[in-house]
Amino acid sequence: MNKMKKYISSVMIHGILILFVFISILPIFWMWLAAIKPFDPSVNDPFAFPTAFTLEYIKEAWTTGRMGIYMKNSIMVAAPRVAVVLLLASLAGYAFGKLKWKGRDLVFKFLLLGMMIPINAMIIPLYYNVQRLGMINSLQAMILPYFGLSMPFACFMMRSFFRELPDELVESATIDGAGKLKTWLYVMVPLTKPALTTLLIFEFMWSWNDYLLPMLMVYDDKFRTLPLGLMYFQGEYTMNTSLIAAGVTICTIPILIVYSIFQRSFVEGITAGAVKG
Amino acid sequence: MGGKNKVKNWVECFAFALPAIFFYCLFLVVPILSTVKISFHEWNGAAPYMKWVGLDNYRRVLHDPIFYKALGNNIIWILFTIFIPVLLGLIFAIILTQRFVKGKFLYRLTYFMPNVVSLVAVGIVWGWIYNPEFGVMGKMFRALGLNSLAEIDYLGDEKLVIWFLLIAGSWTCYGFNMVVFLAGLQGIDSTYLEVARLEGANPVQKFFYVIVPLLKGTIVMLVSNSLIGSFKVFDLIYVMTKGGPYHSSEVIATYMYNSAFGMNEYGYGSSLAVILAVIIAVCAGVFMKLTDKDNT
Repeated sequence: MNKMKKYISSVMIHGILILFVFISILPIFWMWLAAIKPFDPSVNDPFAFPTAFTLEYIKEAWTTGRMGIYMKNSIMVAAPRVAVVLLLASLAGYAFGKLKWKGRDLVFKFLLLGMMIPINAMIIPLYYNVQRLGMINSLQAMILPYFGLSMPFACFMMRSFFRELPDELVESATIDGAGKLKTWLYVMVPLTKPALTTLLIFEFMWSWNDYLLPMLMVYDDKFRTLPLGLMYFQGEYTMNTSLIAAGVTICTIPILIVYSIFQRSFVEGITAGAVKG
Repeated sequence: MGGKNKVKNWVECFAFALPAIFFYCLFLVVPILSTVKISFHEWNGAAPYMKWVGLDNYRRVLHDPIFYKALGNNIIWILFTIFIPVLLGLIFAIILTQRFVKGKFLYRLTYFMPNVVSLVAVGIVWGWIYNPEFGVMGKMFRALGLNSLAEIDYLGDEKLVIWFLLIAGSWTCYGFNMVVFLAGLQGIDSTYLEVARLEGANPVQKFFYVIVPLLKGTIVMLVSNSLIGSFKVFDLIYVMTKGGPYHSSEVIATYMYNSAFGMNEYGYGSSLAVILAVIIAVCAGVFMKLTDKDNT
């Protein structure tokens, strides 16, 4: 009897778990399906199950829909942004987490204040500053501001990893005659690789999905990144749901591949950022 | 000599942090101060000089019904995201730590997926789900025989639109809450649960008297995260409704954006931005105090 009860509750729990698997993936998966089925304007039901298969819409979205250009821009924005943020945060994380200097914790607290401020609160002057620098409507306009905006979280995360490295490492490197820069480069950086990977993935995801700043900084079609391009794309082809679905597919597949490969690092990053904080 | 060395050492150390601090000041600290400055002015964004109006913009905010509507929506967003996604996350995290559950990896992988997708894509997907013509939502209600619910224009109804946005918003973030709770649960000493079991506690008692108190730190963290996140919410609403219809789904962040970049009222938009920043800073400060007390 008890065994029976246990069995039923186990089946029910698994049923709920699987239901939520569908709730989580179906909306996106539906889009992928809609992208590969022939568009029929008389039915216009993107949720209908496909009866035939075509890659025509993916191709059209990529070329005439310019999703190819948008993707290139997204990569061109993400690569330098991620590289510089990682470099700056790694240097600063070393200074805040391992080196000892007067005022260190005070400066760090000042940096942390930035984590509380929403980006919406500074976009007006940010827009005019970038305009004054003559960089409105360029890829740099979507990269440079993040060297500052990403710093609080990035430094916070790097610092918590550097702090956990044993002090003896620095000491023995110093005794061996290595300066601070050499110690950082040859001893510290290799050891913080897990943290750097996590930060890389997060920064990449934020860059890839960024919408507000590109919307503000760029009005020329040739500089649009994927989310922004997708937004205009949707406005342009409102009627053709297969084509829009193709746009969504092109935008979501790369990030979901990255997520599936680095799933572990995502989870570790969230736990590091959340629980240690 | 010793003093000189000390200075040299300090400069060397500080040099590592300097580039980060420089960009932080340039792109974050200076703009936020400029926002405060602009908020005391009337400015259309194009005029070469701004007109000083003192506290007028703030006075206007306090008498602006749309501001209160937006603030109310932010508060609805907070309450809903604390109850639904946080609670769902906790329940799923507890289920996934049970020994008999199979395929844990699959659930963890898929539940978090909505979190990594661009909110523009999410907005389009959910816009279609709510579409009055071919949306799945209407079809689902019709299949259940709830025709009155199927007739609603989900994103066009002034009274209901915020709730339907909230469902989409919760969909994106419950997996995040679950992952954090899972980490919190892993830190719990299993002997507590073992003792509770030996004492004959039922699952509900175990939940309220053992798990919840032990997870207090994580819960406070996620509740404060929802609180701050709810004030920051922008992308999803802007993509799906732009704050409409008739400002009915406006939150402070979208209203601020629409005032500044839509209506060219940069002074007024800045005062809204300052108010938003102050609210978030106060909430964050209070919660940091609370978590500090728990940890020590």
